[in-house]
Amino acid sequence: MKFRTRSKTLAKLIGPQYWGAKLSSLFFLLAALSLFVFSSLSSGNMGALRIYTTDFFAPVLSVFTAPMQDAVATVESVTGLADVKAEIAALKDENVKLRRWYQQAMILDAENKELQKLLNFKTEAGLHYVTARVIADSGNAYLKSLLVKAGYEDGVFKGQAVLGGEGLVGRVVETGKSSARILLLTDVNSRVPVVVGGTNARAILSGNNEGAPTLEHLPLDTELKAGLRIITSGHGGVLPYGLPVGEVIAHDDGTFGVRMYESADRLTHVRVLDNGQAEQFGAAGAL
Amino acid sequence: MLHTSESNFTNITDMLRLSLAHIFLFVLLVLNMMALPLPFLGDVNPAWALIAIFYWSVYRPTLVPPALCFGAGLAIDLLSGGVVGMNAFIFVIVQMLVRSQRRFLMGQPYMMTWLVFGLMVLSIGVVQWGMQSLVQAQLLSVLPILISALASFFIFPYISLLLNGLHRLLPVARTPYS
Repeated sequence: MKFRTRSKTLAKLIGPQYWGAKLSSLFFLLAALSLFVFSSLSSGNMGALRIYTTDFFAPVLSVFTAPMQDAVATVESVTGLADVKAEIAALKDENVKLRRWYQQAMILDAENKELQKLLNFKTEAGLHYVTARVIADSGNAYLKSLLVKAGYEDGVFKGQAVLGGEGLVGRVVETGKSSARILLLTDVNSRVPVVVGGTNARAILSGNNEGAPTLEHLPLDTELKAGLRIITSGHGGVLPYGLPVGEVIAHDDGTFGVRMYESADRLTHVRVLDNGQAEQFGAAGAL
Repeated sequence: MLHTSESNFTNITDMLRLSLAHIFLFVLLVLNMMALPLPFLGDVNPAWALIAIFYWSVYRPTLVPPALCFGAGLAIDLLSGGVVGMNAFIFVIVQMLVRSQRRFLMGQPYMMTWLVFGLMVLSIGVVQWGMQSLVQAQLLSVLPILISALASFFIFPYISLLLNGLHRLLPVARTPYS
């Protein structure tokens, strides 16, 4: 009797029904682990496959994203109705200030051009933008990136700066034919050379997967205070000088962070800055 | 002759009905690629597709064979731009573990299944956190995975309700599942 039970269990264990699903699962588990190890050895290891996949899925993602973005915008507009009155007052106030600044800027611009002419100053080439629609987030709590529906066919190349309406949000890290991936400034892997306005101190803006990136490698004698402007320094030649990034904020524990001018949370469109690199790299600018 | 064409027709309609489950899984995969903006919590990434993998592994495992789970996870990995293989690993292991315990889970009340899903999604979050920390070579914050697991736990009833409705539309299985 005991033998029969044991032989039944043995038959079940060696039977194809038991091992069929298990063996297949084990095989795919091993395959996934091998891919994980191979991919984590170097981020570029699976780059080409990633780009082909995003190019393939980009049309589908863009179809799904548009209604999602509309739904979010509708919810926000409804929930924000209560604040409309206060917002209009604040905008009117801001508009008056901006008009004053506009006049000032026009005067300074004219003066600047005159002085540059006098000094025979070599100005940087004009900047061009490619506007692209955001079609997906990273889908991972530990990755801060965006997928946009524009690739090297549209003039988007690796390394280019990406801006929202208010300031820098990240840079292009992978480019396909019709889609590109943007690494946000908040991602833990993001490092951008910046200058602290007012002090001219150089630093590296380092992402931490949270809302406010930190400033690293600041000169020791730099006195930070809340409200100082942060702009790109242009060092390293990847990003141009002077792109607005954010402003310094003081945390409760005495440390400082950077509040971005542009939060990437609700972005539906971004501007990819073409600073001439596209011509320099050509098609090789793509992965 | 008539009988053959009728059975062919039944086969085709059965296949079309079965594909509804896969179409819905695809929709969830796309949703996985979009952060859900929630008040006070910011952008949250619930594990949409994992809910379907869990549900079908319990109630209709032949719909989510290991190869499909691997493919779905791989698609998310490649589209998310992160390290490749992590979601593929998670999807296959969830399918494997849930499938081995499906007889137990099927006999449980709904609340118990929900709770098991909650525990599973939390454990998966810890695995994800460990794998990401390993790749980044630093201890990352556990808060994002806690929020994500909590969001997945609370959307589970809604998605499982839809999956339940979808399950009723599917043809009756001809062979018992293993």
